[in-house]
Amino acid sequence: MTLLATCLLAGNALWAEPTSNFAQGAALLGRGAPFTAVRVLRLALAEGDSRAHFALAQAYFVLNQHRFFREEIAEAKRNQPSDAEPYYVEGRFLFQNESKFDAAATQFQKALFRDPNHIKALCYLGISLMNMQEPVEAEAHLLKAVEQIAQQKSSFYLPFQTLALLYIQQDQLEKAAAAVDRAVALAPQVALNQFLLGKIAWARNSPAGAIPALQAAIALDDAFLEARYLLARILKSQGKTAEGERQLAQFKALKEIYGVASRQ
Amino acid sequence: MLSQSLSLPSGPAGPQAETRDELDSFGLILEAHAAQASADAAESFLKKYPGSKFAEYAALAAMHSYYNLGNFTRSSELARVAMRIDPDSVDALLHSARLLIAPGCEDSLKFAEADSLTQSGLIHLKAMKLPAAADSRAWLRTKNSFLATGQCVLGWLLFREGKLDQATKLLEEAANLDPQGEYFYRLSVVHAANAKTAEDYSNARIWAQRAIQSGPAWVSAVGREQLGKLQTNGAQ
Repeated sequence: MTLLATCLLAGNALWAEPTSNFAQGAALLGRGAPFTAVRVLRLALAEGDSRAHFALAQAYFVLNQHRFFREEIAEAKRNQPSDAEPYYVEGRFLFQNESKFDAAATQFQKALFRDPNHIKALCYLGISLMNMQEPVEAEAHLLKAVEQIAQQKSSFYLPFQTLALLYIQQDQLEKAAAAVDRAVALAPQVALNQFLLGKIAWARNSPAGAIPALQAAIALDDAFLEARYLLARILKSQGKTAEGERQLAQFKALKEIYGVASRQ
Repeated sequence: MLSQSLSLPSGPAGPQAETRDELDSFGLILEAHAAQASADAAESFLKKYPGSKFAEYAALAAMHSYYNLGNFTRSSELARVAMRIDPDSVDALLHSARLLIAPGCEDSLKFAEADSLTQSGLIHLKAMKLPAAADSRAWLRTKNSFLATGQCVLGWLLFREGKLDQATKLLEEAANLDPQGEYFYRLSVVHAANAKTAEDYSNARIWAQRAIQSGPAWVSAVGREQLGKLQTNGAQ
């Protein structure tokens, strides 16, 4: 396949980027064009570039194509047997697209065998273990992820958020508060972080801390119905009846619009 | 791109392609930058992969593309294709109702059918739930777009019954939920029918101008026709 054909497939912007089909496909995937990425990466494969298998697996993950994902990830593992990434990505697929937490945990463990400091594999292994009702193991892996975040100076907030959720379940509010503070510091734009900050503050009898955090969660995600409901309850308990009623009315109206209170 | 108006189910229930070429071919529909290109890609896909799990989505994409192009006959045929695959498709039900009141194709004998299709679409729409992983803003945009189609059809049927105030209210709701040229055009017609003062005619002209500006081409054309009539009336 010629460069011209590739450019026609991938769009005119590629004229300025005369590079390999693999690089173009990976760039398209990164730019959120998975269908075009797949077509270009298939050209790379046809040229014998085996690096395209892993990128194709990721594109088929995005496109929710189960069989093609499995075929490509198997090839990626064969081509890069010592690389942790294909195992991590397969774990994410099993976790996210199939809710198979046990099988996902196995893949995350295989990724960690290849790279013990893989922050995301540590984190998602912890989350999988939480879903498998293994809180002690889950906490241990999440804490390892937190250690790695400090060592690698990463801004990945998910282990802190997950630890906060775990500690709330265990009614360890001091630990939950410390974890959620870190999550909010790293990612204040994440509505769930703000919601957990508000929920924990309320559980610790701090309405002054809870109200702005819940308001922030709602500003970030209009459909965050649980945040609206909790805010309404807190406002009413603080004697701000009119404002509480207003929030409750909005909660009911949005519940009708969105169909269900499906956020955390 | 048209992919913005078409959402595929995620998770294990999402459609699965049988072959990689089939998936590539479907991708061409979603990535098309113009209505004609999208319609062509969808027609080609449906011809080549009639039994595909993506056929419903290809048909819906083509249905909207042909509507934008003003080809109401083909749009209606593709709505029927989508409804054969999923008789409860909110998009196809509401769109089929809309086609029964399309300018130039209106038939008063079909008004009851349009009402029934709309009611059915709105009932199914009400049962739709925000998926846990969905972007709430995108979800709301899609839901508002469906609601607007329903309000437009119901408003137009009320207009044909001579209930001008109720018709105006529903059409204004449709235009607020999803500002589309077609809704502006219909508002112009209803405002003109209800006009008593120079200011009323002026409002009708403003809606017609908005329709012309918004397009697509067939809406701009009917908008210009409407504006022409209003200028004659305004001079009287």
